Amino acid sequence: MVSVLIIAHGNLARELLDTVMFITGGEGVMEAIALDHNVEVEQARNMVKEEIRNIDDGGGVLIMTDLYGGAPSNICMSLQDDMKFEILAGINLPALVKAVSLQKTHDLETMAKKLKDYAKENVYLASDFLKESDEKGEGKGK
Amino acid sequence: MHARVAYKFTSLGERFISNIKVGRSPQKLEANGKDIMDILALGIGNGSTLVIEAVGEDEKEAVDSLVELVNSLGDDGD
Repeated sequence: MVSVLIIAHGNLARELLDTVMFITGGEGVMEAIALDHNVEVEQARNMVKEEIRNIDDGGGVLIMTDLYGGAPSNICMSLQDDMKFEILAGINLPALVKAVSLQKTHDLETMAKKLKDYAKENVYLASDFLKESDEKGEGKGK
Repeated sequence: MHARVAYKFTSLGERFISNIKVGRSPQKLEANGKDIMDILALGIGNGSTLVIEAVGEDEKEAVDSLVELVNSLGDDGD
């Protein structure tokens, strides 16, 4: 099974993990690393390496970070290739919840690609919904 | 519908081979019954009527199980 590691600025990763676990009722092989801005880069890199080794059961690890180009992503991108992982940067809650479903049935590469699309597809502008509902005369979401 | 309930619904749906479509009556059956965001986007609220359709070798079991889950939900959808 693919394991998931959330890495983000401040306490965001832990909060996201808590929220995903609340929604899924505790399902999912997922861990979080909160990267405090005071942590040295080398220390952070070692934390990430250790966590990858801890959670990888052989299926690889999908690292999901908050921001491409930010420290969490950059630290992961500098890791050695001897570990089986993929990095998906710019994640959101829909992608994290979907990851719990996909990790049971997909390999690392396929899962990463699907989640990249899923994260983008599930950002909505509420006024688009309301306009659509008005056109249909339904009142979506009410 | 709470996200937690939507997850329960889609997680149950994923156990079946059949394709599952869901709609909030009188809308069309446009949501994938195995996708949490599709279900949440239906805007299901207290008193909504859901239409569930399954097509495949385990279609009857799928619909029966999902209907049972929905009917077991409390007034707060949880």
